[in-house]
Amino acid sequence: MATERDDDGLESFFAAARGAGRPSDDLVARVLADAAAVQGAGRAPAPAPLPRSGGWFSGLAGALGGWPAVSGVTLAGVAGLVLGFTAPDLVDSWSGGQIWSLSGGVGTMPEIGALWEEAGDV
Amino acid sequence: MSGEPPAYAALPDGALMVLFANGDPGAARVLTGRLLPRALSHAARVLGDRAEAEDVAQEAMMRLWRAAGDWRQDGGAQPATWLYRVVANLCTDRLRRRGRMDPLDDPDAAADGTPGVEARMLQADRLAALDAALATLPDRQRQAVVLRHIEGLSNPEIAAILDVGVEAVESLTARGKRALAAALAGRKEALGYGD
Repeated sequence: MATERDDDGLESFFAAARGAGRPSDDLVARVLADAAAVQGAGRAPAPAPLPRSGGWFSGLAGALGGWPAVSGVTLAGVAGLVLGFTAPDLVDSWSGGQIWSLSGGVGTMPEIGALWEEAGDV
Repeated sequence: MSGEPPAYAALPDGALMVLFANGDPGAARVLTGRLLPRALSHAARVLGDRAEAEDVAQEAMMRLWRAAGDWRQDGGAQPATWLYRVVANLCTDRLRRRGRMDPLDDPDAAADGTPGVEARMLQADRLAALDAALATLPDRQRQAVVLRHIEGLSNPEIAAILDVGVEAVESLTARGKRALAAALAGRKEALGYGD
């Protein structure tokens, strides 16, 4: 604090002014609210929640477009399987006889015995 | 805002700034307790208007919070000096917008919380007289006188705040005091300061 001779009689006025700057509770609250806002803004944003870990199958489902897409693929696969078992000739006719020729003449449903024979020949 | 938590009491303002930047809410409270009264007092005496001074003090503190992220604990400016400088500049901006300063319109606005109606009125009158006298000074003289004789800063500190040399500060305060003494000469007896 300044300690000077009070030749001009001003010191009494200055003394009256010292301490007159006590802030009101409202001002203190506003300043602290500003401080909290700045601190909140400066804090790193919370990381986005990680996807639930569901193993490789969940990853595969995600790659395919999610569970709705997986169910569609599954339905198509099952339908194809049923169709192949119940009406193999129809499937072959749809393919224009290509499956017959590619299978070496055994058709879409070779007899299981033929596989054994092939294994035995080796 | 009196009484700092022991964990903070020994810490300098610069260290508190670093703590604040790291998200410590306690640092904000302690810095507010230390610096807000100075900013408000400075602004109130320079502007002569309590409401305006509160706006300036709040704005200056906001700038302090925003500066905390880049604050260097060692070698950087003292937060108090930095804040005084911001307050001085904000006050200068307001005075320029106002045009030439008019005497204080509302003396009661500067009233302190002194108990008792008469004491409060007398205190308000003294402060109003001082503010009115300060208002007659050029901005730089007013800032220098307030910082030196009311805020109690040293001349080098004031030189840093006002961005002038120490000799200029001495000149500003000397001329400011002479002008103040002349302006208040006729008011001392009426305000209970009769010799």
